[in-house]
Amino acid sequence: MKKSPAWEKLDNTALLFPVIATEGMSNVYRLSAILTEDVDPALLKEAQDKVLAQFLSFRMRLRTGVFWYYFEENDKKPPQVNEENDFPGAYINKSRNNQYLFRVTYYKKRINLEVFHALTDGFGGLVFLKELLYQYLRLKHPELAKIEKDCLSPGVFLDKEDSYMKNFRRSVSHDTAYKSKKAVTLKGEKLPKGEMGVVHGYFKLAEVKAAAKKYGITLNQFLVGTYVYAMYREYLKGAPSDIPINCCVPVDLRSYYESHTMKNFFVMISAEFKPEKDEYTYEEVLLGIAETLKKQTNKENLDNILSYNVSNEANKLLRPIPLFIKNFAIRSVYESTAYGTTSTMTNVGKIELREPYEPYVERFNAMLSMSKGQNMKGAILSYKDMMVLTFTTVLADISIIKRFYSCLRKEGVNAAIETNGVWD
Amino acid sequence: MNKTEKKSEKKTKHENIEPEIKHMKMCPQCQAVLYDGNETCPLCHCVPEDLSAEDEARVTKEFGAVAPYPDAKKKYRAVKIVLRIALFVLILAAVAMLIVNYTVTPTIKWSFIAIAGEAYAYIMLYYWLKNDSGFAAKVALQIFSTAALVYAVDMLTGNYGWALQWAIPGIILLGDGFVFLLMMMNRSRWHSYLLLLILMGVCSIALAGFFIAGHLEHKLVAMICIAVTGIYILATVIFGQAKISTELKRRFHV
Repeated sequence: MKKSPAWEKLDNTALLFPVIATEGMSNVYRLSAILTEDVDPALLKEAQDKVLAQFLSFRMRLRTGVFWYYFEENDKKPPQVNEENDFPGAYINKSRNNQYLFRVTYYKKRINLEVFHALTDGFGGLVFLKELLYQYLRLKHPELAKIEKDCLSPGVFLDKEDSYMKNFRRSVSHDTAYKSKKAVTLKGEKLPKGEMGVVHGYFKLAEVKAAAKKYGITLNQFLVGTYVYAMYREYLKGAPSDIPINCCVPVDLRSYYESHTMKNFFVMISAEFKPEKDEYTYEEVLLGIAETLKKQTNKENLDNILSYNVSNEANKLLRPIPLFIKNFAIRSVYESTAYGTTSTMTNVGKIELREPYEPYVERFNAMLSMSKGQNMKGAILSYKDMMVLTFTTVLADISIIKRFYSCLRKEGVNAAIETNGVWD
Repeated sequence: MNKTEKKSEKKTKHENIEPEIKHMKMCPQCQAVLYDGNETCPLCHCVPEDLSAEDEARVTKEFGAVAPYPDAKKKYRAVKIVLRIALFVLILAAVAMLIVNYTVTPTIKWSFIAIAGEAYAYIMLYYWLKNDSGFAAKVALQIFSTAALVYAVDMLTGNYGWALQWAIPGIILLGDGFVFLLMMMNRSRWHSYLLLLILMGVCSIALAGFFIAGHLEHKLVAMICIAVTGIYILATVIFGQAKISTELKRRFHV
């Protein structure tokens, strides 16, 4: 008898994405690997199918229940691997793509993995992409298959626990919860509807580290601070403002709660800067942002945010409310708080490949799709001795990005820039 | 020309429109290497200078080679064009109907019903093309909205009761038939349509309510509808057992 397909509840963060995802705000992120040679589509498809068979967390389709959405094991054929023909982070239609919530595409030397955020966060996406790369390279280069086992890497966790629920405990203080007060929204002429601009910046990791060290702050604080300063100078023109610039920074909770889940497990903290006088210096903004990020990045504060986020889901009175009412409420709350964030900058972290595969991969990049009220976002990652910062935006004017690179150059960080050509 | 030659010619054409890989340049204003090698710097629009071969080799060694993007601008047109053509034709037809109605039969406002039907057709077309709900959800909404539309038309045209007595039971029977067809066509996942069947059951119960309250003058179609839906649900529950309980557990988990 055929086994009934597995199913599971959505994690706390994932509950939001099916409700708010639209073609314009897809909530799809992209992780790409650029190889040293052109991609072989047939082998990439074969690699995808092999790896997918081992990742139940990616072999899921989204279904609608009476009270909640849920994931059900997708027993349809694995999705096609197509040549890239769309803008990064394009909407993933739940009913097409064989109902899979991710897609693998390629273009010349680049392999792209695009994931609907309900499925997993950047950590989970990266685990899948690395295994996909290993499998592809083993197929493409039989000499690798001789020295490497044809299976998932040792040490890969396939854990699918809901770490939000597991680590949830009711907190007395909800002071740190997301605020609904308005923040600066980056407005201006937009690119044609449906288009998204991409600017990759490539730096030497050592140069960025040295610049951050000069101010006694972490690399992440340095880059977020520089971004906030660029917004302050270019959008607010260095003038005081009644509302703050609020840059959200996702924090991966796995290291704080000893989790290895392949589901979402992160919360947002905010780098907030409210200019109350004229002409703040670069250093003032940088140190101010570093301080606010430092204050929020501690276990107690993260406990509070996690507790606030999960409290409604855990509420026994709210759980039996029909889904269409919950969706309406979630959408209303989201829309009322969306304009409380100016932008988001995420750091995927340092990507390390297993030694035999490294020579075949030149670099990686990550990029985020837009959200309501956020017309520009940034994603950082590092690989070998290189750092890649990718800005994605729907704005036609990218003077903020120009200012960002200009600040870095003044700090001795040299950049190489690559775009997806929408501003040509 | 045989198939292979045609394919190869198509491929050659495709290759011709792929963006050519340009040499890197250097923006003298931003002091940044430009991988795109374009005429102007994307950040400051300054005309860049060429990067020497040695410098390009050095940058390639440090950060890797150029990884261009395809031209993705054309993809969004097809669905938009279909919807715009439909909207254009429907507006023209609506205006034409209004003119004919007011000049030929000004006492009967039939054009309003026809325009409401047009609006319904456009909304449904938009929903089927743009919404990514599953097939079952789309069918459910279609059945529900069609029933609501015919009921509204009946109310607006003198409330003769034909909607409740004939049209809505007919729509429910059609829905039963559609659920059966979907279950047969997708036998390995037949239980996926259980919620749709439950919706048919709920509609039949509502119809039974009207029946008991004596609101139905002609009862035959309604009785057939209630009986067919009832037998269908009973058969599904009896023969579906384990799959039904699993599906219900998933769909109704709190």
